[in-house]
Amino acid sequence: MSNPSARFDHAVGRYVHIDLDGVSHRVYFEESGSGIPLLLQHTAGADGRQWRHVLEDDALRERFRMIAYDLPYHGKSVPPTSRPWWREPYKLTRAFLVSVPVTLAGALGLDRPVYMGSSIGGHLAIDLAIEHPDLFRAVVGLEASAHTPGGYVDEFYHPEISNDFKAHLMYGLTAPMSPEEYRRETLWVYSQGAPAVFKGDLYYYSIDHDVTKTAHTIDTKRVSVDILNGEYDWSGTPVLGEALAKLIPGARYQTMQGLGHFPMSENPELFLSIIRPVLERIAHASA
Amino acid sequence: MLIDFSTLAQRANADGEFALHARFWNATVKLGIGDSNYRLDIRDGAVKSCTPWFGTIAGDLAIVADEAEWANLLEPVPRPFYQDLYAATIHHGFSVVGDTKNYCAYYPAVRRLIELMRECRS
Repeated sequence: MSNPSARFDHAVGRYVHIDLDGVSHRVYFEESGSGIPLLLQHTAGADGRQWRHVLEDDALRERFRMIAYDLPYHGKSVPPTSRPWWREPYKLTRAFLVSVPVTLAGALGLDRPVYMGSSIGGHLAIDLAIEHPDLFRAVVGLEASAHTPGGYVDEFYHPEISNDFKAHLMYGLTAPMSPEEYRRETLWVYSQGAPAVFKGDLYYYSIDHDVTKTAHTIDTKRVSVDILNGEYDWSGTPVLGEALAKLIPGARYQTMQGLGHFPMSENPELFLSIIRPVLERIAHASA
Repeated sequence: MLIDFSTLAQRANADGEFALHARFWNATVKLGIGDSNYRLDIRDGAVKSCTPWFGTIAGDLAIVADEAEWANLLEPVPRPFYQDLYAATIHHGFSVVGDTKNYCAYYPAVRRLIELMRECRS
């Protein structure tokens, strides 16, 4: 029996075993709230902890069953035990990444969930809308772009350069007015990724994700598309986000003033004030 | 002069965060600020000297931009993409030349040094 004065978060975590690309993966997720399923995807090289503040939001908990998962090889989703992953370079492909929320939705029995993700997760929103328009009722792409070449570089996985480089580079992707404690928390999570993972994830971010010729095929009557990019995001810039939205008939775009590349973790309060109306509109349209 | 270099070394050497990130760092860092160059000698993680420099800009690491660009970078709350040197080299008029691996390895120290420059702005 727990101490009555103990304070607990609402989010509860557990593991699910799912098959991805013919391999069994033990995937960790945390969930909070009830109602419309809302899958939450973290950024490259990070994990679901980035969503911890969103999972605790009372307004969202009333309307949504929020599920923040760790991609395989990230956070608590350790690599599979059935293959010698240590003998090959880690590389995140579009096909594999798309399969994660799709398979997870099936395993958890989610009925046309809403999907929201940031950075690689924002890119993935668009790939899901293209490839699985009937599986998701809506996608929300944060820091999304049609194509972001140039990031798959050796400096992100080099024996002479520590994880500190990536972590502090990510700090520089946050907005200078975001609360220092949350900018540092964002940095901290980055410093804990396995050394190979960030660069491997950028294979998808910079090479395998390119919707410049396919984004126009999205039918927003089947799956609604919202794109929101942070004012201070120098990677998925507002210009890129708006350009992507213009490729998709019916997509909505807004610049998140005063936020950077990690809106949900660098300034949760400001992000929630922006995203609640977006999700409320999606929920209302679903009713 | 945009930066009060007389106090930069003192501030850096008294700064716990800079000391953590600069550990084992030995480098000559040159700053090109418009028509003026400055040289920072860093030995064993401490800033040993911080002086005007009239020789070549080449060094272990050189950060170069015109004075207006430096002024933007050193604003207390910088405009988008001036909040970080890496971003300023992609989107604005900064260039960083030198040993790329050393730059990346000591990027956290460089980032902190720029924050201290903001505090030392003349």
